[in-house]
Amino acid sequence: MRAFLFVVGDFLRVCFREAGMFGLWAASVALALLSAVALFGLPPYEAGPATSQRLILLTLSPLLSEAEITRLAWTIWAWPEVLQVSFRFPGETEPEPMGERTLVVEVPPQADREAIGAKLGKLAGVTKVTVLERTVVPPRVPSVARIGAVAALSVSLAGSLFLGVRTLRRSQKRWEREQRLLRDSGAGPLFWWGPIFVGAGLCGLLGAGLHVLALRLGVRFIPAEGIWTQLLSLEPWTVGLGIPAGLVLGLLAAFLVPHS
Amino acid sequence: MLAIQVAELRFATEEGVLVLDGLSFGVPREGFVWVVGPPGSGKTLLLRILLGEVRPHGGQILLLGRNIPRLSKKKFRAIRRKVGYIAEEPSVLPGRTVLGNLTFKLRALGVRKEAADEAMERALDLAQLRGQESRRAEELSAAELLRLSLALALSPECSVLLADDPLRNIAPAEKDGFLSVLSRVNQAGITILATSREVAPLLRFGFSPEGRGVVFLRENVAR
Repeated sequence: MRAFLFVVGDFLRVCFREAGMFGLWAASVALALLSAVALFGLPPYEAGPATSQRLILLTLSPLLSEAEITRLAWTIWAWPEVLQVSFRFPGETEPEPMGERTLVVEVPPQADREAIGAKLGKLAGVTKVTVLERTVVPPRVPSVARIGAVAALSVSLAGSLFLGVRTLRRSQKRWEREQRLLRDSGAGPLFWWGPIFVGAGLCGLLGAGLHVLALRLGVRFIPAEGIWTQLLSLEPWTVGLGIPAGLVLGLLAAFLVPHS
Repeated sequence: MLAIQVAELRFATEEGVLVLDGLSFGVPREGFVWVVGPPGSGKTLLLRILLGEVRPHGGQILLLGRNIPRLSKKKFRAIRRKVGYIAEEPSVLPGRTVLGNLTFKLRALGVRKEAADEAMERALDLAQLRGQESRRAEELSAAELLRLSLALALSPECSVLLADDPLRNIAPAEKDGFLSVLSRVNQAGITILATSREVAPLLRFGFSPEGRGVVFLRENVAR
């Protein structure tokens, strides 16, 4: 154990010459962890406000030709109290199952639907008028913050692995003579690769420490409002999971260093 | 009693080139044998097999009386610690003194201070590096670097010394000097198996192909 600690100490001494790179790597690990916190801390989807939609369905006579239906639709669309006109074939189900060819007329919420319906009912070719009101919930889509967190997590993860491999490779290059001497002396791989894994693990832990520090500073200095309330209140599990996650990120980089 | 016994050793490359084909020889305890062959004849390979880094495809190797390929990792490590190795490119640490190099190896191997001091004294004496202790590795000549590499190989406890083409990187005038250093190491009771691509310096030093001191490998069979 004493011998292993000596070898680790010797490698860490070499690592100090790459302190800047190690700092950058630790920062990227911290960034990856903060992005993960943001990703898992934010609500998964954000639904927009529900809106009320007012529709008038005009069942059309089977005697109307396509050209007459088109003309009729254009005429209705030209009315100022009409928002939109669309055509439905029999068998379509939106906004409700259709038995005949139908024109769907959308009117503004404040419009007098009954009056417009009566006016529409008088048009030639319209056999039935149905007034309909429904609540429309817009599809739930990921929030911009969440998309940003996914992007930040992907970039910082890739960045941390890239920086980790590069930093370890540079340190290992500085220490390769010692590695060779240890190997030629019959020491096991634990002695010539172990220190690199220890260095990587320590840097991962440093990154996790920076991430916890950033959260603590966030709690202290940023007013806990809106999105921050959700993120900063997650501290117990961000610390609990952040530290092993940082360690794993560090070790992962060490695994990716070419072992020759 | 043989320190190294190689019998019917066979090794073929992935391409099927037979590099070592039934090689047999022995090095007695406290003996000194040179394996001579051109580049690619399997000199380094032979040493790597003896160090347990490469598994042969056939034959038997006994190192200090133990069958190397069949030993458990723990038992092999115990034997391996008694084998010093000088690689073709000397494994010395630039930026450290001669003493710093030895200290690194001994501390990395977990040798206690008293034993380490003793081992260092012996290695410095045998490698004729007395008075050079505080010189940094980068200040040493090629021959001195080789002697530092020898001192590293001899410490902490070396019964068998394997040297891979040690004469290759030193000036012709220094070859005899290093051969006499090796002879002194051998006289101190250490078995030596060394490789070389040239036979002339060995003949000058009294080794002879007819005698027991030189083993020839086949002509260049693999690169």
